[in-house]
Amino acid sequence: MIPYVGCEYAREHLDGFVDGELSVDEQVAVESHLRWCRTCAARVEDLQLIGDSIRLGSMAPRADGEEAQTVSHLQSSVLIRVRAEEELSFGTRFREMFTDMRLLWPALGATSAVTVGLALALSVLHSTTLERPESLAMMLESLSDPGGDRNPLMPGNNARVDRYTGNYVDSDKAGGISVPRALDDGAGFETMPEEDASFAVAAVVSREGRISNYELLKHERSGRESRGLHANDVEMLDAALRQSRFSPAQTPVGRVVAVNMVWLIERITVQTPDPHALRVAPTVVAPVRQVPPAESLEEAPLKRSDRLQTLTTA
Amino acid sequence: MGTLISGGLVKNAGAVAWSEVDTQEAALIARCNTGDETACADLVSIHQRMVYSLALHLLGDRDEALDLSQEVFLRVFRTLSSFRGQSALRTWIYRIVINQARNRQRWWRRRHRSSQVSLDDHLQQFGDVESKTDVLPDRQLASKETSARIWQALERLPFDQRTALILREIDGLRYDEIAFSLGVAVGTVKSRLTRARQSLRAELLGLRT
Repeated sequence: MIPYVGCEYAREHLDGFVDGELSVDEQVAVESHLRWCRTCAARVEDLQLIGDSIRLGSMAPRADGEEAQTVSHLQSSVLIRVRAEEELSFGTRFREMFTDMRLLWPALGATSAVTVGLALALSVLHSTTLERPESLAMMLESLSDPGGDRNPLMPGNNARVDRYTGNYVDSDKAGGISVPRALDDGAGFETMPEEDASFAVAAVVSREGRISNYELLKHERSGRESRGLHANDVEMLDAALRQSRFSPAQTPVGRVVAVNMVWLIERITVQTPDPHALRVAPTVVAPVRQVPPAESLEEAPLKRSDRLQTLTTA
Repeated sequence: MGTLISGGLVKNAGAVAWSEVDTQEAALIARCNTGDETACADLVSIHQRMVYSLALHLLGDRDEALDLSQEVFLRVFRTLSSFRGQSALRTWIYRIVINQARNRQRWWRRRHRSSQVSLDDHLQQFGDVESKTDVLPDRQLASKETSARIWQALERLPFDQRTALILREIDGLRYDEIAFSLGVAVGTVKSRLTRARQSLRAELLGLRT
């Protein structure tokens, strides 16, 4: 029995009917509908006419035409291009590089020379950048290392001396940096002339405890300020500063840092029993904290003696 | 002919599931994968007319179609190792043609718009129908002008609709083959064919009035 289908069903299947894509049942049902429905039959004719028109206007090349020769050349041109791609491929060129081994060693030598040259050039550029103090790289490096020799800190004013051990301690553990202390108590200045003198020196005490940079702020001899230093005095002072050793400044957490310092060196002659012969060391830069000498002044022997007094201030 | 492709462009496909590929075609593919230049020439020879024809219908320009055909075969030889017989080789090549043509579509539309021919020129070029169809004489007379109008309307259709209709009406592909070539579902193919035919039928009705 052939099922009855309406126009709505038939129209949904007209494309499949024309294309032969319907199942047998659907094909039979649509065919039966087309026998009595002229509207749907006209639609099918239109669809078939559209297909015929498309095939009629097809631009497909004819087998005997000029275009057929063009298409036949497609095969040779494709094979030529495939062969060319193969010849130009990376693998092929890489293999060809090693076909002539005579070129291998010069090529390797040239490559090595270029590599070494580049490495040398880069190392020179790198070291030159670090050595130039005015360069931005050096400035950034100094700023990134507070307490380094190029970026010294200021010691705290709250450093004090332990009464029993004689060592510097920080009164405020959360704050200040200790003041560097002369280890030899100015032994290098013992060669000074047998007369009273005082020197104020601004210096940087490095992390190693050496004077890395200094400037003579003030000098005085025998109570009168001289206008110029004698050459011997300059050599003596320079040698004494070079020989001086300090215990480096430390932060409260124990890190060794470089600091700026003003160092007051004074040689005075004390005559007993007149205690008024003692001179009080002038303060150059306030505030000044007196560093206790190795021997207390009150314990001075009752005879003429030379006493070297050092004061430091930040 | 010697070995054309030595493992560079066409790699060994290994074991493949040749569900849709007959024995002869599978052997041809295997020879191509080993770099047999004769096999590669045979593969081009078998499919070159089909590829060129589809490229010509999609692009509408003979030089462009020829150039696209070369690109398609280069692509075929580069990717033949990935072919697993999930479809007939012809359908797989159709898919490459369509993808390559789609990439050129925008550029083609610009160029083709400026080189559109008039209806008389089209009739002059494609007016000789005796050798193409076996339709009745009355219908032939009606189809000359109708064919030109239908083709003009066809070129205005969206690329996917036009491609589906060309694959169906000219190349005679089944719905599932069209779906594989376009990379869509069979239902999508049906809807695209229906819309395309509706548009062309509207053009046909306008021609009658």
